[in-house]
Amino acid sequence: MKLTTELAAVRARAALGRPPLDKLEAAVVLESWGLPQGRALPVSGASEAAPPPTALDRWSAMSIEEDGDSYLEILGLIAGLLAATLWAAPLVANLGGAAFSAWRWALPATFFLQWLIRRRYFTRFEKGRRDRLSGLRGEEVAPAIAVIVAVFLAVAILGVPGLGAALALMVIWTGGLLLVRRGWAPIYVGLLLAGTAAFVARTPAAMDVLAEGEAVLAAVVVAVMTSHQPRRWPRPWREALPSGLVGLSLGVIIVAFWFPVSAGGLRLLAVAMLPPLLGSLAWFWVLTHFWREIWIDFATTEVHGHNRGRLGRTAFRVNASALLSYILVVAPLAVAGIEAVRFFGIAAGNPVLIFLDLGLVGLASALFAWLEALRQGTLVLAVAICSLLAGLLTFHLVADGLTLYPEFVVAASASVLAAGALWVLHSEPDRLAAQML
Amino acid sequence: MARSGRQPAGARRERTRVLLTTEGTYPFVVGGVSTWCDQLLNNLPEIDWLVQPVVAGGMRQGAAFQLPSNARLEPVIDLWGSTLPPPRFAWSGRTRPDLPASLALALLGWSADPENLTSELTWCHLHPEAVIASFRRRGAWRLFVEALREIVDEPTDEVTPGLKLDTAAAVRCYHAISWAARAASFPTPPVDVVHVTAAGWAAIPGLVQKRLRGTPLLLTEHGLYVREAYLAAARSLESGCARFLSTRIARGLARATYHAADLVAPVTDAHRPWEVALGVPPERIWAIPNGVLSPDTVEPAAPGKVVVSVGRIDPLKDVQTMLRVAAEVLRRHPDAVFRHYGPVSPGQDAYFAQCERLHRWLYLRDSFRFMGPTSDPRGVIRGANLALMTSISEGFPMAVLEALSQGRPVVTTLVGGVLDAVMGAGLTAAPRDVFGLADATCALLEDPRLAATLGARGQARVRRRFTQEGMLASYRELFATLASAPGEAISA
Repeated sequence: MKLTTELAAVRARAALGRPPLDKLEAAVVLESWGLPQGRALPVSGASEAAPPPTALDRWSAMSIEEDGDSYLEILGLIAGLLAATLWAAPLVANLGGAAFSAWRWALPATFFLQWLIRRRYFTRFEKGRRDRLSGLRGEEVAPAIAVIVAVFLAVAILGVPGLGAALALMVIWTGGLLLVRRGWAPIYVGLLLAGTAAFVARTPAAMDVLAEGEAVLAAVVVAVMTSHQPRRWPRPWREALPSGLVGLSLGVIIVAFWFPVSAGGLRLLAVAMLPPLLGSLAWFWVLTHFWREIWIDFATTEVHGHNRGRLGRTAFRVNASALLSYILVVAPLAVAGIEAVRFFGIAAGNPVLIFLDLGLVGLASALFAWLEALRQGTLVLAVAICSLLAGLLTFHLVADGLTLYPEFVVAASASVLAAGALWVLHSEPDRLAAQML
Repeated sequence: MARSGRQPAGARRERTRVLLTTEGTYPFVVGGVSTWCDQLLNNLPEIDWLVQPVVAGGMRQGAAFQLPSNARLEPVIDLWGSTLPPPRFAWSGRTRPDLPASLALALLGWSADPENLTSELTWCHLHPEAVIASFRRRGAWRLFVEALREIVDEPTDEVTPGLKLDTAAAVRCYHAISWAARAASFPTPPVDVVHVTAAGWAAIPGLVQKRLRGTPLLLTEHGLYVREAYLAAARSLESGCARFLSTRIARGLARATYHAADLVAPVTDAHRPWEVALGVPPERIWAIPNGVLSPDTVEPAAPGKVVVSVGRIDPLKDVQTMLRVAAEVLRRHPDAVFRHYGPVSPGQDAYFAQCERLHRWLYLRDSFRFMGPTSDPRGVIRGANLALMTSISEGFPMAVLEALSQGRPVVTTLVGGVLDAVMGAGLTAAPRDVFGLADATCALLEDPRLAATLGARGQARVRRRFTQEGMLASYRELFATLASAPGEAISA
């Protein structure tokens, strides 16, 4: 029987269970039916009309990979932070003023490392593989760095206790990120509990922190070495370093706001780290829950046509949820901060504003980092730091007549930038998603 | 546009420099195309080869082939990865918010002029700092969406009308097109000839060089790139929009490559109708079939029922049909043994898992084993009684040639240039025809004399028509011709 164009169209449609996209797909299908290659092209043709997309079509348009580990990661960090807070008094008793320096250096350095590592190794996923340390496994110099850090840590603790303590804290906090990402949160918490028990038992604090640091480092090495071999390249350093700088700036802001002068101040400093972490957490929570919903909207909204109002409504829900969750977690913290400041008798500006500022800065920088807009994220931090420095300078120059708190300036700049990003998400979520290049 | 000569006469080097661009194959992945590349590089020592692989997804690549001393590996173009040059600062005056829209029209439009795509890609090459900045311009997305509307509504009888393009597909398309622009902005070395091994992403450096420097462009097609994209779409469960975009991108790249190529040298004449239909003038097509080394004498097959297949584990190889064929043959000959040699294609782990599930479901146990990659395909063929191939798309398969060269008959699907290779030396069936392939396999297993006769014919055919020396001589002649007659550059 001669294969006519009409018969070819019927055959192609039957084989596909739908009309072919065009004459080339029809030709391919006919060839799969046994027509010699090239013979199908002249008789194949397009169908009259495509049916509307099915529910399956719409679902399969989505392939969002969730980063559910972000909760665990931030909660792990908070656990580490709170544990280390408990160590503040014994450390100050044992090391004196060096303990303050240790915290002051360890905090920004930790933030730098955490943001750097997160960006370089944890922002790409391998489908079906949960082991997120495989990127580090591929770094040939990683074991050498671990050995150097371990030796340096031991030498430093014995020779320059302040530097050693700073290094140990940095290892403990950064190691927490890695262990939690590996799925070893229980091990990390166990190590923290063991360290805290040693402090409570009044063993020498310097040795405790050294032992804790070495233990966490050893756990990290085991976690990395037992990970899968990597199949993908990590992000290049040129993309990871700006993220590290964002983290560093966050740490610097926190330290600059609250330069601790007592063990109580150290505790407050630890508490002061919570708002930016919670600000980030708010975003991770919102994005995990709502970004999928936005993509469902994308998949069911014609790129040019009606239904676009739904996109705006979903985006509004995302923004509102982010801000609400942020306020819900930061506001009680701010109140607690006021009480804490009163209790410890520390003059540190307006604690409510400081807490809100830090939270906002965390929120804004996390948002920009997620949007792959690191330049804007760095800008947020740069403006915040400059505002802070300018405010402090003004305070010293005009000691009595100061009416402008530096934190006002920080709050204003961070708010404006965060609001700008939120507005873009609200007004043009599709453009935002398209331009995340 | 002004035209200018590529370079002054007499300025040519003694040795010809050829840029070989590959896509997902040489030198990282084992397979027929990679074997063919290896043959060229190792056996044409008079040429200085520069190999520029295009890979996808930021995957770590371990070299599967050692480059000879006359070849150099250029930086890898890693699509959806991070090795492309970083975006640099660009004044907004130098950026083009219309770039994504123009690229979309040139790449996806059914009736678009292929020249437009080359022009846009060349602009990206000349303004690498402005590419990402252009895609991030405020108005770029709106213009792009309007261009998509124009593409979807383009009036033509050859396309099924009524597609509703959703926003998710549009966003993904925006990203994909940005990668085409980024690949074009990648620096490539000046050479005498660009040899492209697939009419897809790997052709982008060649298109730019052709436009910018007038460098002759040679295209060798193994499988038909656009056809394989449509095959993938036809079996895909993705949305209609996703299928539309993936096939249109492949078609756009293929058309531009066909248009720009000075010569299209497919490995089989079977590709000719598709190439002509997509715009290659017939006189520019010169098929050069693959060739292999063939021994003077053939070891007769040992008595037995060993069936071997060599090829990647990939949907295009239709391993699932092979498993079903094995099950049907084993029903009739329980003592038959099937051995499959070949690696899993990058990104096809899920497909391999499906194959393993089917293997268990068919209860094949040790009668069919996945042996993994082999460094000695001829050796494994010699140990077999016949070779089996179930591909749904092929060019001129090396695995079939290797089997014929060792005097083993072949049971194969009738795709691509297979008929040219096995004519009179094997049995064929339609793609996915489980029972046809099983019948053919059983026929050869049951009649060793027929198998030996077909094997001897096949070996004689390879020695007569598909020798490695013949293939190399053809390419040597091509390179000499193309390098001595450079085209003209067109200022962008």
